[in-house]
Amino acid sequence: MANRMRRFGTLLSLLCLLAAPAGCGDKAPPQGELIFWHMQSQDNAVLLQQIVDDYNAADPPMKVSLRYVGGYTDLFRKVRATIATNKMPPDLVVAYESMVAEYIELGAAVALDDYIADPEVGLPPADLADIFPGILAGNRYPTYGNLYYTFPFTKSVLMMYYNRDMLRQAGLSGEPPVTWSEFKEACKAVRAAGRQGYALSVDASTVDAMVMSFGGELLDEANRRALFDSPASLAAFRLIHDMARDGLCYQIDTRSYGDRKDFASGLCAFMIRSSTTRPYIEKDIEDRFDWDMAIIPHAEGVDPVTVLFGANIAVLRTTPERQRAAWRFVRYFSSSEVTARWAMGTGYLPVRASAAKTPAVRAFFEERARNRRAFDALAHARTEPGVAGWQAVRTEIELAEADAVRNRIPPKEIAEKLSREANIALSGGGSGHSGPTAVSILAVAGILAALLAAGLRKRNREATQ
Amino acid sequence: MRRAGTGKAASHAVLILGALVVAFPFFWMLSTSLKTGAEADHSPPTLLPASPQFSNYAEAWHSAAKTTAGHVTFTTYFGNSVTVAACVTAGVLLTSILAGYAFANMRFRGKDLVFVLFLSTMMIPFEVVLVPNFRTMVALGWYDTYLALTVPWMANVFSIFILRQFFRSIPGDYFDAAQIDGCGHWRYMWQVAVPMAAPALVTITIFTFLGSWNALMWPMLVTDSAEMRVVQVGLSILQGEESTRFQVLMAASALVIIPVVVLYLFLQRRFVEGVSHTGIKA
Repeated sequence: MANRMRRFGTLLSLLCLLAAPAGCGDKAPPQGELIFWHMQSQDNAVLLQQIVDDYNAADPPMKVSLRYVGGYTDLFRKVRATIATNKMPPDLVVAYESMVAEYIELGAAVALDDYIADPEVGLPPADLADIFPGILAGNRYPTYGNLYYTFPFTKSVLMMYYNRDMLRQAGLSGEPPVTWSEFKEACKAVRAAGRQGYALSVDASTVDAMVMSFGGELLDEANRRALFDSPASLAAFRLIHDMARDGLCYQIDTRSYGDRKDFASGLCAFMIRSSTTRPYIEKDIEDRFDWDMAIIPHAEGVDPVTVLFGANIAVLRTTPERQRAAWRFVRYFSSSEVTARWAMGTGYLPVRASAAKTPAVRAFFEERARNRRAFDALAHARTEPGVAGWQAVRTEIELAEADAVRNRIPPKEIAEKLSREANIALSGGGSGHSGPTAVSILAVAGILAALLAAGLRKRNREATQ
Repeated sequence: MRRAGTGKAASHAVLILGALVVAFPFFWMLSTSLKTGAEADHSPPTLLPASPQFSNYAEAWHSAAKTTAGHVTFTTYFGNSVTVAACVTAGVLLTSILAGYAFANMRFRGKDLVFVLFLSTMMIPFEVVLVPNFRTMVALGWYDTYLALTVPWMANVFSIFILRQFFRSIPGDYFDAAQIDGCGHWRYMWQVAVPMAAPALVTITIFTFLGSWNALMWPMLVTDSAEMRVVQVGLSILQGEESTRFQVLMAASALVIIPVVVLYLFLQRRFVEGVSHTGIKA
């Protein structure tokens, strides 16, 4: 036994020794280096690094250093935690509009308008006009003085993917449905031919796009009240509800890419996803069947519309010198040449009209008709709300959509309930379905502790007797 | 006799079924790790790869280099994870032995209150203390160091509770005999009580090592440079926003679980003893 203990002790000592050379001490970011937190991985990360290397090679006032910090949720959590410390925030972060709204609320995001107008480092009006208005508009924050707090980073649009061969086999023309009624009819025809219609991935952005495509708005004009109880929202949930009830759509496992797999395997006629899915679908399908993309359907009498999504780059509050240097990189990244290079290498959309005229982008568009579908849809794309609390609203939207798919609750109730929950979230109450608060947890912990203490005292009394 | 035989066959059938349910995810992981991209994404899924793609493992190992501009590979992640998990395990064992013994065998004012306060901290979710802990790390200058990855996890109330229960189950006669031989608490603890608690210590070792090995949120939060990342961050790199190459992710996952499986197999017998002694459900 003693030998065994000695061995155990030796093992412990060895483990401690292993830790001895561990890097210790403060690791503040280098003074002359800008820290850029992002979530790009694999091939996209390689390209981003090349772009950053080219920028650094041009001897800017401060070089940029990339740091991968996980997915959007990890990144958001980390930025929030860092802001709370008031120390060492990154200089540049990738963020969605709703995340940026929270950074603005915390006083951590820097408005870019002064830099844009700066004679030395700014963007001339012609350059600003070159950026697609829809994309640019998404980087203005109406509830925060209508200022630019971000610049575009990874832009894409929500698109409908359709299996042209399957539509033809179902007796249809093979052209994409333009209205939701046509979409429903196409799914019916495909189902009658023994195949699946629409592989539905529960996703807040898809619901947002549907509401807009029925002519609705997500928020009121003041950007304060959610409008999910509107007739357009009700129509969107009724469509999902009725299609699920009639077997015209089926839900895939959340965040499983199951719709992509089913679509690529020729099991369903439609899926609705980001335009960035195109290269992956292309690789999966190769030339096994004819497929294409189109802007999502819309209601009769309503103009085509889709959601413009993707993240932006925000400059966080550090020092005036660092902020100015960070803006220089943002400007470089949105230049015509770089945005074209980024779009070609990643599947995201170029943010400037002039980028689409570069030889590389033109050759790409001419290669296949579907290569320019997302670009064409940009003219109809709108961003989702960039207000504080929208992250929590997205959770509520997805819960509501899941309810509609499972036919648990009538569409009217779903829309009304969602509107209520969304407005609670927007008023700062967090998600209506969020877990217990810290206070209630501590209260429960206190009660349990008191009960346990009483039990222990009683047992000790009994033991001494 | 026939009834006993039927009962045995039925219990075996249930156990085999249970084993299959437990083993199937591992089989699926290994099977997917050897598939081509098209096979891994195929719907409906195929059970086995048509032709095993061992190159997925090499690709998984070098995948980190892509995202980190060649700064690190999975070798760095493994080195960091082994270091962190080993240090945390050593720290938890040390603090749990000392605290567990004190709560079980020593008398001091407010012992029950302190113990109850310790236990009550188990009710507080990690998310609630995330930001305060992070602020502490930054204030101490530990951000992006091994200290931030290890020190906050070197005390664990659950482990203290397990050891306290174990030490309490040792008859007081042992301590009386040791006292007659001139032992104090310190010597009795290390030479008598701790060796007797070996099964519980093994259980704690496995649970702690596993918890540390699988941690993602905290390492992601308190580290910044690629050189300080751990294996779970390496796995997250393989999950893309719009697409995940499941065959490479599964190959990396298979590589990542090897140390944990080896540790478990090495300590299996003691672990089972520990579970039966402490009444823990694994």
